Amino acid sequence: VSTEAAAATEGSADDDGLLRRHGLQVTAQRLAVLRAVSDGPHSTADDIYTDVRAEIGAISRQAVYDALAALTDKGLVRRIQPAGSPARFENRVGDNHHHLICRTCNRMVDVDCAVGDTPCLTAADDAGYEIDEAEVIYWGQCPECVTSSHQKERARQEEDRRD
Amino acid sequence: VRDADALAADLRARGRRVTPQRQLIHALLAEKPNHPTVESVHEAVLPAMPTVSLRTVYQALHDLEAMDEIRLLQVGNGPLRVDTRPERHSHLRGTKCGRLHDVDVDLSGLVLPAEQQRGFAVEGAEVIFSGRCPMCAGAP
Repeated sequence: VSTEAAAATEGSADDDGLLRRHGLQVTAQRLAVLRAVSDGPHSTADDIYTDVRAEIGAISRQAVYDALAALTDKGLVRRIQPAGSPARFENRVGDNHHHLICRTCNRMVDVDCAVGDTPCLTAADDAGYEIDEAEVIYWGQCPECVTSSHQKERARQEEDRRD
Repeated sequence: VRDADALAADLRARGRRVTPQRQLIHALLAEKPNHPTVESVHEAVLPAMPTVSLRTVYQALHDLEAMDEIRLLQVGNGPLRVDTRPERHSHLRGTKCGRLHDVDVDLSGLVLPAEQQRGFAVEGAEVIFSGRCPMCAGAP
């Protein structure tokens, strides 16, 4: 057995245990979904579906969505749902970190929470909710989109001068 | 949600057709309380236009979202909802029932340190609070 194969087996044994400890039945689908989320943090459900299909072959979109819902309900996977952008999934669940999203290309990166505790903010009026999480989403443009929008702007000005 | 004439002008400017279906959906969104589900928008369209499909409603809503007129959002595994306040704002979400409210938060203390910005030009932030709503908390 090569070291690599042993490492892969060990990795999946860990995931087996993780699912069991959270009261989930271990299935090939759930393991593959969990691995896809851990390999591609901030993936959409569709990205995960593509990855899982590539890994284990025949699986329906619904089965991937169901596995994601089960993993999210048990807290093994976190779902991030900004307005105007499809839900993303990640398995960094142990800390209260936040996200920064590019409004142009939807790229998402992790940022640390200044406070650390959950929830780290309070609402002026919580409408009687028992709030257990305050998720902060910062919006802006990523470096690549800032550059390309500057380039587009320059090209437009260039064109205007020619007219 | 803007008035119908402004919407029509914007649709034309973007090379999209101004159809009676789109105008009706837009008008209904202006009347409805915030955060209707896509399905409930479809149901509201049907009495006036029984042949409009759910797919047409989705298409119209995606177009409105591309025009920054609305935003589509989802809570947990719940249905896709329409937010008719397109500017970034914060929400309170019911984790059990999927209810959604707008909420005011003082974001003045929320500044992302420069070393955390990763080269992004940061423009603003929104907060999503989640937890059990009073009704779900009281239920057994």
